[in-house]
Amino acid sequence: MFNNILYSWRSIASMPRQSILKAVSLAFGIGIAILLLARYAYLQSFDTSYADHRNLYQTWITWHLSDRDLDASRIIPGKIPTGIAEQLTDIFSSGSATSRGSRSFIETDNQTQADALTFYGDTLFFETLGIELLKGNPQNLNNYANVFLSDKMAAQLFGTPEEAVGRTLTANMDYDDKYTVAGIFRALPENNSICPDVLFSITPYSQYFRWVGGDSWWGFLRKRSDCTMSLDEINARIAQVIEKNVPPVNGITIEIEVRPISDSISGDSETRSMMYILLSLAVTILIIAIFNYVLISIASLARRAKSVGVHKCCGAGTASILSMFVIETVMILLAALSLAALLLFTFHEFLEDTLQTSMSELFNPSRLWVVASVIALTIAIGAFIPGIMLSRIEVSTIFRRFTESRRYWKRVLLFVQITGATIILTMSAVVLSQLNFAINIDPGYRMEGLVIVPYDRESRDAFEADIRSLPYVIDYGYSNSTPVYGYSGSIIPDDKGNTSFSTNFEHAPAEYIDFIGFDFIAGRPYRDSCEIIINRSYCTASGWTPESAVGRVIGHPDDPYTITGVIEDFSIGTLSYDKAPFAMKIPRGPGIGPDFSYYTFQVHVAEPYLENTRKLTEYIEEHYPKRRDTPSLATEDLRQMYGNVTRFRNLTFIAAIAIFFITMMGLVGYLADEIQRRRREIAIRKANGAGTLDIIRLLSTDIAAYALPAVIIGGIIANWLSRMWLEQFTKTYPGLPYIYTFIPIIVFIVTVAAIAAMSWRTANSDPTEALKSE
Amino acid sequence: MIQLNNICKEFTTDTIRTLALQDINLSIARGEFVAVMGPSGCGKSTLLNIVGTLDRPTSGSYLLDGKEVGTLTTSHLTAIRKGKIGFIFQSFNLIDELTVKQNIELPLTYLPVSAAERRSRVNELLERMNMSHRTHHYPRQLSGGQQQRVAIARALVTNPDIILADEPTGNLDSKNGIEVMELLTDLNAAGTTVMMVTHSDRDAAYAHRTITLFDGHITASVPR
Repeated sequence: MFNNILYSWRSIASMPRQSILKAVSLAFGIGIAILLLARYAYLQSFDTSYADHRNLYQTWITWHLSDRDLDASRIIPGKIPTGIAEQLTDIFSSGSATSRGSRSFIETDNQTQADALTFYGDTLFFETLGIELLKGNPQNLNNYANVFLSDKMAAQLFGTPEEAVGRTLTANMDYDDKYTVAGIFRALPENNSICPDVLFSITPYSQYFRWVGGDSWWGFLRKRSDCTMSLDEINARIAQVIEKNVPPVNGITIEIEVRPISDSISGDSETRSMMYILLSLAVTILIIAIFNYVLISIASLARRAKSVGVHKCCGAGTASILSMFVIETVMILLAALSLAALLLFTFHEFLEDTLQTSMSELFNPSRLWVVASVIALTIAIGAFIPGIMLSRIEVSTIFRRFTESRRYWKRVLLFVQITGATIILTMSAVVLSQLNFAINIDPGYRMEGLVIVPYDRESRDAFEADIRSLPYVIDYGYSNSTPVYGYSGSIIPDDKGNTSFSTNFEHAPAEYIDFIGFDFIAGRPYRDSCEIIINRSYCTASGWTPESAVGRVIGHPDDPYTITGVIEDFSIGTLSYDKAPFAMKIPRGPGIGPDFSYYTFQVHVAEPYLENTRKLTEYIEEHYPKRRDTPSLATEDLRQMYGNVTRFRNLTFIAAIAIFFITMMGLVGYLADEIQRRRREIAIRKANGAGTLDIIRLLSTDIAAYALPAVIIGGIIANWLSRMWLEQFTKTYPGLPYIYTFIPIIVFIVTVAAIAAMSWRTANSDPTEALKSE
Repeated sequence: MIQLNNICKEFTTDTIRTLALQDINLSIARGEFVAVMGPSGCGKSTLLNIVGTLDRPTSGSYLLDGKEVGTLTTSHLTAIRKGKIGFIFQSFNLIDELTVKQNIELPLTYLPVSAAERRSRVNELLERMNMSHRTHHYPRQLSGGQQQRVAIARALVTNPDIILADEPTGNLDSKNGIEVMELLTDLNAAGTTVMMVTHSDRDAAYAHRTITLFDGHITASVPR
């Protein structure tokens, strides 16, 4: 064994360039593959940390309108889970509604501060969710002034969980309410929908819980352990409860169903397709990295045949030769893992942000199987394929020159590598273009320089006047919401009073229309509170043309509005949202109007937008120091809304860079050995009149012949994978067909050009040297 | 010791079938020194490979010490070869990344020999070959003659019954060539059976018998 280790080490040391190529390409490949697979495993095991999680279900609601169904949603009215649990006691042992989690700024009585993930829960929260309560009585959640902390947060805030109970804290600086720590529960890992640092009492809200309305909550039900009913049977029983408690209104019905908690995230279609893409990326990179290792190893067979033959002559059996290669692979793999760990450590902040998961969570002990599997697979493929080939080299070959090319293997491996590189480079280009397109697309309103400025209710007029007077503020307006953040919905009834479709609804003074720059395709802006404007999609949904819509009266007979104009459709939120009906009018009614309090103050700043937004922020911070929120540039807000897309772009970009390097390293290794193997042939050709270009053509034609189908297939697969990802957008970059065409062509050209460049020296070398050494 | 009966060896490719050896009948007694001669491509090295159990005959029988080995599996052949047969090659075939000492030690690492015993045998051979001062050198740091002496030491380190040499002086100048041949003669005198492929009449003159091959047939077997 020791001798085999020595021989393996000597073999590595004797080919330093090749060994470094192998280790670096493996480090890039398996490092990124491990990261992506760990993230996949993280998502796959989402919501599985609750006690007996198989009996924990989440409630989902589907709204059935007369013409269509809305997508199923986890956001439900607060009464649903507790109401169902109370009426189906033979199925469920408990039910609980919780908030959806938000981040709060916590400060303790001794001024220790923390940014915490907070939830609201009731007395059945712990029992239903299966979260272990370490200290305290859950009944204390009946008192809104009580708060429960996770043991981790308690330790962070108070030193130890034991010291936390009875202490007080505040949540968010501008609220004066003090909360007393009434209990401690065991913290759950990050990959759970409900993993609070701080749990507040839901009591202030639960008094308003109804079967319908106030859809803001998540609902959970714990199935009794002795209940053997199937999911379909349970949902049929729930349907009966809903039928009894929630009669149809204006043709609208709701359907409530429960789904296993573990399906809530991984069962979501967008998450599922993202997981699928993650898995595809990880497997592609891993296979390419391992195949690259195999390729470089196989390419060196000709060079290593002699020493294998000598070992065999000296009595080494197949197992000895194989074990030498396995040891060699393990050594290179260890070097690669060390380098990968160093890279992950160096770039951990960027990677954690990109993957939205901490390294400690990604690589917690329950997911170390990912690393183990990658290592096992690397050894199984990377060591055994070339190892078996090496060990099967005929010993008699050392009496002759070993020229076996293993061309079939090399071609297959290079083909897979070039295909994989094409897939990931194309996908990376698609994601990059789509993100640019989504951020820079003309939204159909004046987004450039639009800044949303939070205001103080008490000093609004003075504040507004002050802001408007700043030299870099061009104009201002206010409305209930903004196109960037989206609008509230409203159901539009048909002639019979049944629901027809839902529309986005906005309230704003008439001046706002000019401020925001909507584009009229018919009619004019509204002028008073009896008038309304709508968009093209509203017309389409109503079966009108824009021209015929103007002058129509819509709304309840007691509260009618005359349509004065139709505007072109514009982007609401991100491109994840389809074109939707939109209506806007002046707010009216008691207590509202131009003075109503829930408006959003907006200004347009002059160019440069970022610079002027920063100036505005600094001005407000200086003159209004008590304010919590800072102004935000709409384009930057939009960019943040595309955070997932940006992160995915970063991910594919990293993968593309890694793949490019790995493939180039594979090509370098392959070509170096191919040149070595064909040295005599090249020399003889040159001696017989072949020129530089002839030799370059000789070496590159071979690879070009299978690089071409590889890039075509890679392009097709990239197209298929990208389409899956692009499903989240309602508009896609119109230049995508060019990307699907040109990136594979570029990969092909770069491959052939790289080979030509690497062949140049050989093509210009003196043939007599090669012939002499033969 | 070596008994070949009607040995044939055939190589086939997709389109060509080549008979490298045809109906070879050959006996080599223990302690004999046999030279194999013939033009290039006549099957000399193929014959050496079969005798050395590196290759198997397509047909015929090969008895080594009275035991049939021509039909054994690769692993059995490896086991038979270990410690029993030593090889010397024209191009030395030392492993470039191992030192002189490690190259000589190589066959012992595949045998159940203790480290101390290995060390002692290697040192003994290094002295015998006048190579003690080169123990930690690598093959590339040695002259051709020195490399071949290391290769011979490696072939001898297991005290094999048979030495198979494929043109052992082919890459050496005459002075080094003579040294190598004298070494082989000494070995043979000590009881080792030697079978040597050569193109050189002068080298063949050291042997007890010269076998001539032509187109895969033995055309002559002449004792000296």
